[in-house]
Amino acid sequence: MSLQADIETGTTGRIIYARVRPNEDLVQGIEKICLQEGVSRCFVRGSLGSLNDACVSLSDETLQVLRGPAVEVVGMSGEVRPDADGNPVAAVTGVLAEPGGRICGGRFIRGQNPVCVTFEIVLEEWLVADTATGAAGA
Amino acid sequence: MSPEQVVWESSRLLRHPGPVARERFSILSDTASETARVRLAGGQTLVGALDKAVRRICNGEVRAAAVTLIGGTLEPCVYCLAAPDATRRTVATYTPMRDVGRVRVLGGSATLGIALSGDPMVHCHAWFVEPELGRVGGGHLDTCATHIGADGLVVRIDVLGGLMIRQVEDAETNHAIFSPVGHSEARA
Repeated sequence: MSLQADIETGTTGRIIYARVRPNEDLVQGIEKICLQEGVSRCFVRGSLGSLNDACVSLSDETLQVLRGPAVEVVGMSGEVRPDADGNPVAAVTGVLAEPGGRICGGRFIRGQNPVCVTFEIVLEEWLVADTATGAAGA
Repeated sequence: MSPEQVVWESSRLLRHPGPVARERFSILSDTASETARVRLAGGQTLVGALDKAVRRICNGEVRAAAVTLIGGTLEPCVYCLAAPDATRRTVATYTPMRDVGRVRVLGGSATLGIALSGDPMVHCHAWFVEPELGRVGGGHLDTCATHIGADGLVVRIDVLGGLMIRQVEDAETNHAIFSPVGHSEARA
């Protein structure tokens, strides 16, 4: 097992605040915001809102569907990175609360998490200075 | 669960009571002017503590901020969940508020902006554990009724540059919703 860590140094750029309206997908919504703002890399910060229903992956094989309306997103983190062609790809995980109070978490599946009332998205642009592979923990 | 069932169940779109707004994304950006780690002192309301902290960071100015909850306690923690609206006035409304006493915060996010009334307002979703029961919960916090606990609450505050975030009436959903409405005069 490699102990090498991929290190990418950089600085933060703009901070972007977006209000996403109902029935837009959460993951694709974040990607659309990046396209509109010309952001290729960013971290998801301080975001919150509700979904009609939610669909998250617990592993490569297991999906979990939570029924609303509405499912509250009570914790969220993630990032956007460019694919080989430069298109933004969001990877976002979250903690969810169903109307009955059950708490669940996982990775949001693209196209399967439509916003219910509103979603506030805060993105912190990441401007890469250099990439290197160094020892873990260095 | 077959893939077909997953697609049908989770991709459901919902019709809201009002006209569908043409603009689906309201986006504003700026240079983040200030970032701070803050330990909020116990006894204050969540909205009061965050408003005071941001004013202090910004030399008394009223600014919008994105807040990440890192850890600490709330007491009491008063929150609700979303629920279908039986009156059909909205697609989703809130359950009655629940007071769960003292909780340890596991994480969450908040936005500080201005309410319809002109007062400071915090929209906050968080998840937490009730220490006596070991039960994990989470939802939409009543930030006027929820107070910082005796241990304090550590947060990261990102002031949103000169962006102005205000609660606005939304005809589509029949809710009053935070929206970016412009840049302040003191824009960075």
